[in-house]
Amino acid sequence: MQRQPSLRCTVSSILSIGLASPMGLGAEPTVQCWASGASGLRPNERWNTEGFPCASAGLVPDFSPRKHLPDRKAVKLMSRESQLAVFAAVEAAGGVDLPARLGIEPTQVGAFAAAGYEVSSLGDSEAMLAACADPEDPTRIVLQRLFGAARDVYNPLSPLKILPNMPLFHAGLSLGLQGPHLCLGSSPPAGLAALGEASESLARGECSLALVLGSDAQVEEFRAQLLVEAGVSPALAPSEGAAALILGTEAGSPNSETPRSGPRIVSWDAAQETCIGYGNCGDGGKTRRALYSRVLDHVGPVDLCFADLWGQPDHDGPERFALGNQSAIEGPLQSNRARLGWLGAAQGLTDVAIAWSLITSGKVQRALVTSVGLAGDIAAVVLEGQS
Amino acid sequence: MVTPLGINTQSSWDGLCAGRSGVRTIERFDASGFSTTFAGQVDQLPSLSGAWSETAARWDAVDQLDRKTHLLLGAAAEAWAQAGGDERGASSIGRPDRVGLCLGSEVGRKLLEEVATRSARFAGATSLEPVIPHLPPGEMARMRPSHPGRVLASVLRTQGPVRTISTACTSSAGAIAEAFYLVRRGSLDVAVCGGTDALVEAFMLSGFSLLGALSSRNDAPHRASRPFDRHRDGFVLSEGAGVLIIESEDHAKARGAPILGRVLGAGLSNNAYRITDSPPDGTGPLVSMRAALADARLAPEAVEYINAHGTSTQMNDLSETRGIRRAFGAHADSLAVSSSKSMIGHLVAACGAVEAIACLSSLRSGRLHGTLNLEHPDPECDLNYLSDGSVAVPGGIGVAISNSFGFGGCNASLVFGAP
Repeated sequence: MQRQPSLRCTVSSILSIGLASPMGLGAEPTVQCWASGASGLRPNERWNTEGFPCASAGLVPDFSPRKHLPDRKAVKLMSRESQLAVFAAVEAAGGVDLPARLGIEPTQVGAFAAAGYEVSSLGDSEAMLAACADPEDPTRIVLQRLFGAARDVYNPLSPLKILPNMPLFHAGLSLGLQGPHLCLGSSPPAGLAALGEASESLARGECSLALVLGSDAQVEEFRAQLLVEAGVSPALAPSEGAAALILGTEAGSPNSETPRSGPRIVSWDAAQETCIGYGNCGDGGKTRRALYSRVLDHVGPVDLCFADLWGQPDHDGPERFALGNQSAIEGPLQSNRARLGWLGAAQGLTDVAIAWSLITSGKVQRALVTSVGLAGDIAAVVLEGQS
Repeated sequence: MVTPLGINTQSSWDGLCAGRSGVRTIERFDASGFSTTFAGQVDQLPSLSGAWSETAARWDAVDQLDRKTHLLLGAAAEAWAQAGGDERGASSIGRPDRVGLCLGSEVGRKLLEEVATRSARFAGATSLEPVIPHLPPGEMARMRPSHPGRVLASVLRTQGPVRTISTACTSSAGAIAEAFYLVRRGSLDVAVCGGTDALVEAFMLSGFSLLGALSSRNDAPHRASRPFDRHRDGFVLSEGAGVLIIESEDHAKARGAPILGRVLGAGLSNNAYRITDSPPDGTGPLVSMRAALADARLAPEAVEYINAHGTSTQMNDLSETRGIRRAFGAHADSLAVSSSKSMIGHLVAACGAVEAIACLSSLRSGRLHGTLNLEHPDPECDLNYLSDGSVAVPGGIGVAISNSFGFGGCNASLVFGAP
């Protein structure tokens, strides 16, 4: 009896990429740094890390929003995560106003994202909080003062910076995108899910190009604290970055102004391991193993595997079990976490973008990228070169 | 669903059809001195039992059960039982790896209030740094948009993907769209979808007030939400949750599940305009409604009813009206249009799910609820809006659209059909 593939996936082409990572500002610097074997992590100078279990962090080097972003006026309305997202999106698109440059309808370009929620973007609120302190009892905050004395020190748009769809909004505005629009959560696997949904939207004909975006800025005390609560720090250093892909259909781009084709996404899927609190599920990686088997089931040999290994035995055991003895995987498992840190929602797509570069340059033919979240969510994709 | 009108679908639907308002002066915290002092409020959290209660208690024990997650569990327990699921979780209705979750949820806001309060205790501090060690355990986890979804996944023991859609006011409509896509293309047999939000907190109320987005009709809260009325002055913040179980028709029939309605299509779009405003010409809503109709392979004339986003802000109601007129042409005058928010307020990340359930209730019952407080129609909002109360449609209705639009320029339209 002929074996049927357990997974049906539409195929799409990644036409171009943009990256802002601790390894470099831009795709080329990042990939060069990656190839050199250097780390993107450095001592964390964002806050006093005394008492914090991890003293290093991944910070995007030499990034100046007013210099590197197309609309300087908009910078003040963006969190750092949004700023990184716009940088990566513009790099991937080769400039602003993508549909206009390509001569296609704005509604024909979709946008699919995974994004974090940058608590430090509320830093603008510090002045507001100070102004709200009760003059007679400074340990008490009086929000009513916002409607009087504190009004002038508060920009009511500031709290909106924390919304996870803001990076997508700012990137969509810069590129002029009006097509299908979805922000699929803030965990690392959400970026791979966004990639899959963009492929499906292209296949359904809802758009002819799609921006796929993953961005996060975890080098802040609040969210770094989550890594501590989850028990994964110091193994994982907080990090920041953004990865953007321009996706076309399997046939490639509808327009000669963009690359006509590129490495293809040929297989992806996602699943959930159930757990209470943080950490890994109790099934030892069986759900994950089934997922990876499904994704690898109908593709050829994989010569690069970016596994989501955290350098923490409790986590890495199930990941190694799930990837071990998968006959399609040739060569050792590699992981970028030790050199890029915990990139949150940017994680999965950053790995995909690096793999894309390796395939484009002919160093690799086919790559598996896996992504695992703190809350038991898992996803995997396979991309391969055009034959 | 759980809304300010009731802690289940029947009581909420009855309230919508009766033209009752769930909006009243806030008593949960001191809102005096704010420009807005009222909201839509769920008086009593839904009670949970059996596995729902046990799992909720386990999360509560690690300080990770917050109000919006509790609201979600209440709505999900109702939907799960109605779909024939039991305490065995996903395995009671299908293969666990073929059952997934798609939920609309935003960043937990309670933290902000906590930060504010605790910051003040460090008088003179110019950064939030001193606050962190003093945050209550579990606060970081509760803040994550994905938190309600992972709690629900732990109750149902699903193994299919868990997706969290965070697109502001379109979050749960986007989640329903995503669930629909996953089931339609065969990635899942069953998707539990919807959304939850709990915004009636001092920080949110003050923030939205200062944006100029909220009604300030403090002397008559029940009359504050008045979509499409000439005297509308903003939306009413609210809270609640809505959950639907979307299943492939074959799978539902094979297990004898009751079919309450059909999802026929979904359309999403982006304004690329401004953070808080819609294009006045209605382009955003137009694109999402056209996309949804194309996805459903339906002509505009097939649609009989639109449950509007209808927030009661000047900008939204005008933009949506123009979008509907452009999408439906001459047929726009034949459409019945109403807004649930006139009675329950704006549930933000949960509004799309609750209003989708209102659409399904209309399709099942042949009854359409009206728009409360539509007393002085805005001449620029010139569609056939149903006013107070409800109307029975002879012969019932076959196709309805639910619209949701959000900050950040996202738009979602869902097309539903009768069972």
